[in-house]
Amino acid sequence: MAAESSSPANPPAAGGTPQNSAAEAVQPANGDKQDAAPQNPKSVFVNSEPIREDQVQNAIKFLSHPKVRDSPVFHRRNFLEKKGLTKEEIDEAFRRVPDPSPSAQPTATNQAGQGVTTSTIQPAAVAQTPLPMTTVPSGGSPSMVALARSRFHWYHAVFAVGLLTASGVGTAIWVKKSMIPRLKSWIRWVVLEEKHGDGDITNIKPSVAEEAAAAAKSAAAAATDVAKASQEMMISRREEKVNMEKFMDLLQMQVTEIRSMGNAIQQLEGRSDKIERTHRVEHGGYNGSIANLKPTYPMGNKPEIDSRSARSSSPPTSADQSAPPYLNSYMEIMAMVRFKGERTSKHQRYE
Amino acid sequence: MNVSKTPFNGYSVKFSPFYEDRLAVATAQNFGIIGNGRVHVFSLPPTPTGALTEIISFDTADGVYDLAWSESHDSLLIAAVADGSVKLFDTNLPPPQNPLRSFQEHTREVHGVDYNPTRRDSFVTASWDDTVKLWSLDRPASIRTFKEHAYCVYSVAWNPRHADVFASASGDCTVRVWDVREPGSTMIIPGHEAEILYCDWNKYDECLIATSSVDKSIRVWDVRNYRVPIASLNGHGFAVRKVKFSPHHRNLMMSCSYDMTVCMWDFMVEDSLVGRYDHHSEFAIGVDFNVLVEGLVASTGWDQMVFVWQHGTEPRGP
Repeated sequence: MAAESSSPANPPAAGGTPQNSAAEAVQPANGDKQDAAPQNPKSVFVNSEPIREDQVQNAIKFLSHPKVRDSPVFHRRNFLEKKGLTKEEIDEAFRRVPDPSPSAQPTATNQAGQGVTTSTIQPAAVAQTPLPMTTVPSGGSPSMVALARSRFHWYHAVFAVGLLTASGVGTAIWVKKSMIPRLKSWIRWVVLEEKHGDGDITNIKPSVAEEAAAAAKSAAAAATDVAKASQEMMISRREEKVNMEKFMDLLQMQVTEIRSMGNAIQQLEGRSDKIERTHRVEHGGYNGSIANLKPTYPMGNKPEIDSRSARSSSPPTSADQSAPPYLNSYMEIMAMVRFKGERTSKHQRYE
Repeated sequence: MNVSKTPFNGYSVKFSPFYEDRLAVATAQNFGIIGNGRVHVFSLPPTPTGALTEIISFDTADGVYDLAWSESHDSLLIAAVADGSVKLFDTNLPPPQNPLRSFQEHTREVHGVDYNPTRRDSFVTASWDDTVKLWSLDRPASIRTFKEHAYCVYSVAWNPRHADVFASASGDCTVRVWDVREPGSTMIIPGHEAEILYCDWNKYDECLIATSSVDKSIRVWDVRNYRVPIASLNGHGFAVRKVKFSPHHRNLMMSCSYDMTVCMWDFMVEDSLVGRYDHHSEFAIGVDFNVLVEGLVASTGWDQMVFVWQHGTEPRGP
């Protein structure tokens, strides 16, 4: 039993040894993996990459965003993991985030170490970072300020709107307050001019009452004018409506007439279609008369149609040369039919 | 070549590491959504054609999503059940005396289980409650719980050479490599842009790991340089449910997918697809290589069929 169970493990073990030596050549920091002793200081299953400063900076920007701050920590970690950051980088970013402006001193030492090892990192990872490494510390702060500025812009707009409304209200109130005294003083002056030398002081008070009465009267007059104007507008609108309805009825009648006309024409066309083909010369005139029928009053056109159909029901055979080639067979049929004399008219009428 | 029909829909198939003609199939009623489950143990007939003979079967209260043979005892089976329990079955004992043990710790469905092939005394389970648990058969409770994934963990796989290293594939689109001696995961591979459904280690190179994902692709990664995959295998029409490395060839892999096909790949070759079998008439969910017989493979799916055939031949027989 035991021997059987160990046999499946042997071929993979034998095949794995050349791989192991190759792996060790690639990464000198790896401990030996052949023995099962668990005291290997470095195993190949651990991230041996140093912390990438640019990724940490991106993570800090991400974590400092206000929307991200509101989300649970777990989701933030998962997002960064999906973006390919190692645990150490994520922890470093979380450590730095409470201090939003990253100082250049702790990053300078990392950058020196980064310069050697970034060449070993895949170009795909480097392509992900939009900013070059050297400008990252300075790039961090303008982005923060831009964020703050953008915030101010938003609040600024709200503040400006509020200010405008307040100023509008204030000017309205001020205007009222200033206009009314001006109006009053003007009326007073007019009244004083009229009542010249009657004692301005005594006239002031009654003039005030008179002014009030006059103002009331004028207001009432204005109101009545407004009411009259609105009433007139209503009346005119009603009249317009009625006119529109009449117009619509007329149009409807016209449409029905034209439709019946169209049907009649179709029927006639069915009858006179063959005749029309034989009379290619008259084709243009026929169409022209149809076109002329439309604008005129429909009732008057019907006798015209009948007359035309009556005329066209007596077929001359002159138009053979002008007929298109596909009608030749039909012409032959017509010729055959015509030889039978009276039967031609019967056929045409039925069709 | 050898076909059998199970009453329920198949979820996983595993060859026994002790007997070359024995395999177990995990099935669930009603496609695993609701209902009971059953674990079948089949024996291959001596003739290449013909039906599999059932040795024994065990019923469970909920669907069985995965199973693993023990590497220490030839008759023990671990089943991952959809009600969150992990059940131990003994194929030598009759069904009324089974299951020997039932570990109920996961709070959601247990979707994957893998037995440690080197230490042979422990196994890990992957569950939809975002955790991975480490168990031992002689302990009543789990030894450790690994909770780091942000979404359902779909599968776990022990490294074939390193006794303490295993990988887990999760719906949060990452694969994590763990070491049981470390407190947390040692490596995070953001493998795909979509959920990763399965991961498997190469049996000849312990640094290569393959992942299969909902984005219809299979990617092979080297953990020493995990930013870029070594190979990206496309060809399936729908999500790839499982991918397995061959125990006999370094470059050979097998995968099954919702496009009802089982595909064989050679990831070191430019146009990697080596073979395609479309014998299933429903989702192909489980595949396995026989460790003891080179080239013998099995597959199962939601069409309730289990096929066992030799790679390179027609599964449905001549």
